[in-house]
Amino acid sequence: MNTKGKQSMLNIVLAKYGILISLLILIIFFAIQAPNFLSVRNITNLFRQISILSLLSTGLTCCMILNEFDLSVGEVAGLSGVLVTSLMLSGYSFVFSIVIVLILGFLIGLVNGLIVVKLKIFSFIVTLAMSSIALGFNYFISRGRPVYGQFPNSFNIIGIGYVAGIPFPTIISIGVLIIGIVFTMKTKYGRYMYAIGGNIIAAKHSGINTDWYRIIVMGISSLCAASGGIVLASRLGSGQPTAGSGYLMNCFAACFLGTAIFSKKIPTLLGTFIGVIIIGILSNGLTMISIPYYYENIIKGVVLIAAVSLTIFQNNSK
Amino acid sequence: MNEKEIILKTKKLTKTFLGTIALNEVDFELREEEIHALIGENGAGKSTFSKIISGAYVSTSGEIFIHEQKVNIKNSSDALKLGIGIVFQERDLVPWLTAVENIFLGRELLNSIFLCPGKMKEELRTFMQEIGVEIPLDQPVIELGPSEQQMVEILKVLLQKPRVMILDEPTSSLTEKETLSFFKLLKTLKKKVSIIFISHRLEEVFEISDRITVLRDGKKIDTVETAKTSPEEIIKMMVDREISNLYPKEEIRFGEDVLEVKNLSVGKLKQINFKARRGEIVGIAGIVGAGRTELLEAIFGLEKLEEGEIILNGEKVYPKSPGEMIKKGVYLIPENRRVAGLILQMNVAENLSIIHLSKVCSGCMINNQKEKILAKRLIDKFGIKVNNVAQNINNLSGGNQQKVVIGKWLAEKATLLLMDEATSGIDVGAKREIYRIIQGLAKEGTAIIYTSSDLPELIGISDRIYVLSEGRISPEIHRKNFSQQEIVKIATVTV
Repeated sequence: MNTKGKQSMLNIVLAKYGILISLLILIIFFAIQAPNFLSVRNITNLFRQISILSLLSTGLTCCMILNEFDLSVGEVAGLSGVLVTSLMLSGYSFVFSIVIVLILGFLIGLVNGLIVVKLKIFSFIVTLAMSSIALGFNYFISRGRPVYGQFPNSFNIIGIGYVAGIPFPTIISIGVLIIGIVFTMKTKYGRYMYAIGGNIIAAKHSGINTDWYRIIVMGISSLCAASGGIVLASRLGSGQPTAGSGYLMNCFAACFLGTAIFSKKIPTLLGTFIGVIIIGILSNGLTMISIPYYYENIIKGVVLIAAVSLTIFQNNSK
Repeated sequence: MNEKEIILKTKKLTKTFLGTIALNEVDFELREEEIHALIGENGAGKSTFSKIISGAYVSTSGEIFIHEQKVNIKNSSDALKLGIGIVFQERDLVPWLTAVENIFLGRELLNSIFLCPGKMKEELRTFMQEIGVEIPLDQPVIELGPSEQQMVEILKVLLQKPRVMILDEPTSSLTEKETLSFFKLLKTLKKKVSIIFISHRLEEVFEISDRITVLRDGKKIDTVETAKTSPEEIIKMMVDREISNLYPKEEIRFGEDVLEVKNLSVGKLKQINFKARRGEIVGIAGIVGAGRTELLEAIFGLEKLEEGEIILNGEKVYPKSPGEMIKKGVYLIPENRRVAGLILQMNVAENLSIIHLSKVCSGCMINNQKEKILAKRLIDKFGIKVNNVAQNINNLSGGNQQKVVIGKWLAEKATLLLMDEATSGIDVGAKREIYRIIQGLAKEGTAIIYTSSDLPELIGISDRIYVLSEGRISPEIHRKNFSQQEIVKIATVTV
């Protein structure tokens, strides 16, 4: 009986903190392998690098809380980058351009939500289709070529500026994250979101307007994607049509890593953020120890599986 | 009486989960040609026991004997090999496969690699003839009625020639008529296979079983011969106290009409007229599928009316959404708590606060202190047994879960309370507490509309009863005119 007890303690610790332990292991590993890994410069770099992934993942996680998928986050980000730069090149002010693109992003999400709710089509399919449409408009505006130009300084600061040593993108993404965490964990709207994701029938019976929430949250997801696209365009100094495509997989990876944290198996913004950090550290760390980029995907996949499998040691009560 | 051999025996069977003792040294015996009822409150250990015997769980300690030989049951296929089959309360079929396909699932008759549907059908037909049963073989089982679906599961077990068959709440989705023919079948079957009959329904247990074993808090209290005991004795063993009055009923003065429904039509419901007054408990009887849930959902705003009026406290209302009706003090306690009543990933406090969440908020921020206080208040008021308010709701027994489902609404006073099968799947003790709660609400002036498949219950607690049959409603029946036979007649006669 005693050894069984000890084994279950280990299982509980692994189930609860497996991901965090993995994170720690990664940090220690890279710190040992690369002398500059823990330098202020590199850490600042890291946080700037993950800010766009963080923005997109924050919006996506809100969708996942409601049990909806948003497969369009990457392409909406790409479209937003191309659109905001094109608008500025056409002479619109940077404020106007940004506001228009953000509104458009939100509207795309609302449309996604309306189709899901009113036509009762799975969000997976709707957003998959929408991502294709977004890509189409992307190429339409950009003609498949990057949008280069001299953009206002205030725009450039978004992507490459600093405030008190902290990169601007980090401030934006952390700001959005904090608002999101407070909103989802502490407000009644967040509680309703989790209720809908947990049991939509019970939520409806409890008087929650589930249609409304699903539509709005899908809007928020696209809004976050749009904001990420804008920050990305500013960092790259141009509107790159293909910039958004790679983000979708990483967003989902971060979100699922996040669900494995704290053994509750539900999406949380904080959990997703830790997932984002893990992905960011992998990318950053591998570069620091000069591993060629083509290994990165393989290693990322392996680490992902390893990290999640640590947490599945649930107490098998059977 | 002990000439019949003992087929299944357990000695000191125990099961613990992380410190909770679900089953505590239970000794049990099942004889040949016996229908042995297993009775107990929710959480007493009945389903744990049956799951161990059928291989779904592994016991923590204790022994199981088949024909006096000790056996080791590690999983369901071990159990099946030993001749133990189980039919669960919830259906476990592949919806789009036919009865034949489901019954032979995993044990298909093959000609090298090819299926032999003809052979399987023949074997099945022969068996069905033997026991006097008939079900459609070529339709997907999802198109079959509840009693036919259950028969598919029973046939699936029977065709494997078991010695022991465990039936978990087999009559919960059957009509009276279907139950009668089901019991006829059981009486024939018991000659071939001994049956462990798990049920909450005492009248049925007394009708069909040869012996009764009562479990309480994981322990076996006693095993008695059905003919030599009485429902009162059994109840006393189940809850360890006298339940003198199962249905507490007090004299209450009724007030004005709270609800008046005029000519309501929606879905299968046609031209429904009825009313409910302050302090009144209005029972709605009817067989499964008569439209009771649809009626309540229409009043609650989950279904749009095609025709008719709903008048609440004298005012015409057009229920568009549950949110709107909740603000008017109309609450619906839904039928299936796991499907519509609880959010299983949330804890007890979070489930209790979800309806009136604004009341524990400061602005739009949830105040955890207030939430805890509310949870404790409701836990005290309704006698919900929990270890602490942050406990996961899954760990509560069925009866306590149901109290959460009911209690979460009642943090605020209800004008009209719609209750759909509010005591289904919970034990006698918890039921009585819920009846007490309902009486208390009626005293406070709430009008209550209560649907139930349990006719004795309905007759016990209602002031008036309406009967729904094929979408139409009968005239009201006053308490002094209640008669079980009359109501069943109205419920099953085609209008």
